[in-house]
Amino acid sequence: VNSFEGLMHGFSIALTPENLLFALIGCLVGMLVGVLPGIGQSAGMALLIPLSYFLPPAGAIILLASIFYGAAYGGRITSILMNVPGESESIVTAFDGYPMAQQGRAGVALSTSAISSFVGAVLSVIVLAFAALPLSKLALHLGPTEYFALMVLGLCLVVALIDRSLTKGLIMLAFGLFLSQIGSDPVQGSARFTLGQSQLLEGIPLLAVIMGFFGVSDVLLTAGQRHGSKAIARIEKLMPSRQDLKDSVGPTIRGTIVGFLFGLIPGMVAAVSTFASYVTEKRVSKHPEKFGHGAIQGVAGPETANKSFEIASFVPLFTLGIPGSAALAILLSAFLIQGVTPGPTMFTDSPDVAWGVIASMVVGNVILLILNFPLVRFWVLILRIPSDVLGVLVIVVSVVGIYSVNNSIFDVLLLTIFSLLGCLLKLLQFPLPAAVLAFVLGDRIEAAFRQSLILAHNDPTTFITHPISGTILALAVVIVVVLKLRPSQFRKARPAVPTP
Amino acid sequence: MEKLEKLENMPTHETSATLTPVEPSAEHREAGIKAVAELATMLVTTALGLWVTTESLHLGLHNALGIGPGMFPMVSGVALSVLGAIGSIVALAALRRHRHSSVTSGPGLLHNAAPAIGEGHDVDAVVSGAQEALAVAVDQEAETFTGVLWVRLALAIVLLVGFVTFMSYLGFVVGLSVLMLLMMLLVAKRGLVFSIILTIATAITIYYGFGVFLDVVLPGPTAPFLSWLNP
Repeated sequence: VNSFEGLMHGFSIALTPENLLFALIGCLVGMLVGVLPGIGQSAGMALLIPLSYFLPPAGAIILLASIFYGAAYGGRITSILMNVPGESESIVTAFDGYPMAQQGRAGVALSTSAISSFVGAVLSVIVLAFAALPLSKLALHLGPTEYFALMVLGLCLVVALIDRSLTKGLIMLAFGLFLSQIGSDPVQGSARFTLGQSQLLEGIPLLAVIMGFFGVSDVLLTAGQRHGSKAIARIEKLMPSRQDLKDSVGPTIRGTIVGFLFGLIPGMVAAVSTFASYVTEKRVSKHPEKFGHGAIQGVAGPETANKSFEIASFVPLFTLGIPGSAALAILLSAFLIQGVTPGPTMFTDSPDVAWGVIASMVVGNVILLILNFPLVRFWVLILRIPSDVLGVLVIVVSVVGIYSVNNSIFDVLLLTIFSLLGCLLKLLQFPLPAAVLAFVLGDRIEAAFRQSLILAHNDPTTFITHPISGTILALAVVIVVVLKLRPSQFRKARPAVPTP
Repeated sequence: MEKLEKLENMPTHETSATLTPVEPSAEHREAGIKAVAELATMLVTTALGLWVTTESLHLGLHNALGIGPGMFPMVSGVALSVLGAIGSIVALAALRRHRHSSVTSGPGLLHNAAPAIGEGHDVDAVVSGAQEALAVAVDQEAETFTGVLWVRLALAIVLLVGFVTFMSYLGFVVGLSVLMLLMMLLVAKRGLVFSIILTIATAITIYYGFGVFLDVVLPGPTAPFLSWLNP
């Protein structure tokens, strides 16, 4: 099966009524969590993971993947209409989107960004579809030593990018690895750190960690906040003019390239790609002074980059089995729950899921484009619901969800513990995504580490002497050093921003 | 007030030497609580690391197969203890600095950048923030210690623990309904009628959605007064 045939096969799966329904539900939930500040895409996906246990593999992944890319659509609505970015990657959209709304061009900003995002998504899916298969064939030649190095690189990137404190980032990595080691030893079956609890022999359930860190703790911390009281810009005209569309062509193409390139890097986050796109647009513009005052290029470029980034971030997951973010780690866990292992063998072992999910990205983005206009007012109304009532509902659904997976009340207790822990760590600005990624990858890293040493007759230098793994590990060190130095230089050089 | 404004505009080293004590600002209190909490967390991390390391040694680092079950956890344990110790030293130094100063540093990057968002002020400064986009994003999601409604948070956790404790006695659906009702009343602070209606609607949805439609086993109550609920 070549890429084109695979993609066509994927469409035959994604377009079944059942999977269309899952995509629709996922898009709606994604937009909802994108609209609600404080509840991110990770939380939305974590809350629906228990439901995926009861669904067929392709449907479950399509549902969760739709939440993943639907959140970006929701985030930009509140950014443009209310200057309240629902997601971190939507911050840039507010720079020019909100001024456009104040000038009576809210509808144009919404429609232009939706169209640009759609175009960016479709272009990115085409690249993903045609690049994933050859890359996965290439990845089949990698051994455990190279996989170990790649996973270490991914974790290092997360730490280097996600937090200004290297210590906190590394602590979260070590903590995540420790959590993954609780339970039976994968080789000998010895009980490790179970404190005599037989329920812990199978390890800490991933759902308890994810839902506690991202779902329940998010709503507990944002309880009592109200965002719906902010003034909402009126939507007078929806369709962009010919000039608006013409002005958006360049930013859309550049945004697709920028977003896709950033998305290929494991550990990178979409917010960086949107900022990079904004900077690019301002640099190439003949009228940079218009940026910040309602330049349509400042909306179209970053929104396209955001969407393209999300599609591209599937490349490392599909070809190497390495998730680049906490949200993709949740998706990886959903794959594993369904008995599908993302990585180089996925296209041959589970072609229905692999191609079905890729094709569903086009289908999902069509749904999002269609839903974009009629539901804007509805999302704004959702913001009027007091967050504490919504929070209680989310907690109750989380409790039922986590219980239903194993029929275990012990899992509910673990959820409570990780929710409390999540609240405290978030308040202290520990990067929780690093812990989750390390937790998800922990057993794979350990397995790769042990296999490598067995193959090398317990010679630890094997990781350095293998040319590919040695290069990757050296790259990891260089990236951590370089990226951790840049912010401090930046802080010294950064001009002061006037406060009102 | 005038004094406070003057104080806020002065560099730290100057204020501690020349000004009389004033009532600490909210930011100052926030920084103080955060510094103490950070130190406590780092100390707990160090202790956890030492425990993991000790346990790993008991598990065995090597065996006939090569690497023993304790080797990989030992790496985590050593990393946690060393990083926790480093973090403790840094947190202790920050706490001391905080106690010796009356003025806190200004708000973070996002707080500085926020006024520029969408208002057209100093977009250049915001654009130059691309290098720290992720740090800004993380800051945006971070809450403040003083901003958190601690009583509600504690209540929610206590209620969840209570649910775990009494679930087998009350049964899943009744236990969850009690949890939700109490959360609506005590955490969300809604009226009794609204809370009861929402709780009943949710309980019915959960019973039919999970218990009937998804066929999840929802344990019945063992409490004698609720025995009529068991089929």
